[in-house]
Amino acid sequence: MELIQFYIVAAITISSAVSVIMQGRVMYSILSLIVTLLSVAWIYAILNASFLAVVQVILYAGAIVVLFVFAVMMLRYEEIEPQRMRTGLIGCLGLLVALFFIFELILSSATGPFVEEATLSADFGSIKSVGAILYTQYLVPLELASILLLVAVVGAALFSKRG
Amino acid sequence: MVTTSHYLILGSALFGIGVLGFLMKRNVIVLLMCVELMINGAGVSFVALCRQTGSLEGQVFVLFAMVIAAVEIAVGLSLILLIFRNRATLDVDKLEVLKW
Repeated sequence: MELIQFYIVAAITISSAVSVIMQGRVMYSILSLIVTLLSVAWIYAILNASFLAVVQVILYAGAIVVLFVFAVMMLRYEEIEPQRMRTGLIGCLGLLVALFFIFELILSSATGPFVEEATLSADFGSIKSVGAILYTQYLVPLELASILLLVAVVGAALFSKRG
Repeated sequence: MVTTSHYLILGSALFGIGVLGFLMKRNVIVLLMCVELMINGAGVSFVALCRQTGSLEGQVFVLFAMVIAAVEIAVGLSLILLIFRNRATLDVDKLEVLKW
């Protein structure tokens, strides 16, 4: 049962990710990206990371994809030039490098020596346990991340005003 | 039986598809989307190994990676809007002012 669920979610993730890079139109790529991000949220939910799954849906599939859609809508890019993949020597070289990279990564993660699987407590990955570690041990990085977000928002506003 | 290796392979495949798209596509917006795919592939590996070892550090890392991704997209898309307003193209092969 668990294996069937894994293969279903893996098939959805991989096929939608391939669809992101194969689509000719930017808006179709964005729609495929939504499917990929939601299925990654599903994977997080399977892997006992319920809080991360919720954040993935809200932050990625909500906020970031909306930003992409806004950008494409403001550009009206579709009318100006159609999208092409790389061809010729550079394209072949890129394909070769990427395929070699995928092969190497998959080979190394299939045969790695692992520590034996830990027994998980009932609330592993819940909002309570993640919040506890986030606000004690990782308090300083959390505050730095909030400052980074603030700077990014100010910077984005500045860029779009100056243009 | 689903092992951690299954999830690591899935994460690697997602990352590799991101690399493939990043090398093969020309549109800047699609390149940013491929970076998102790579971040998600790394996140899947992080969470899988985090369940394997029973520590929560990996999930905290993925959370910070999401924040970085949001920042990157906000600044990146505003830069793209600026480039498009000045140059009227988003093809990375045509944005070659810094090339010599």
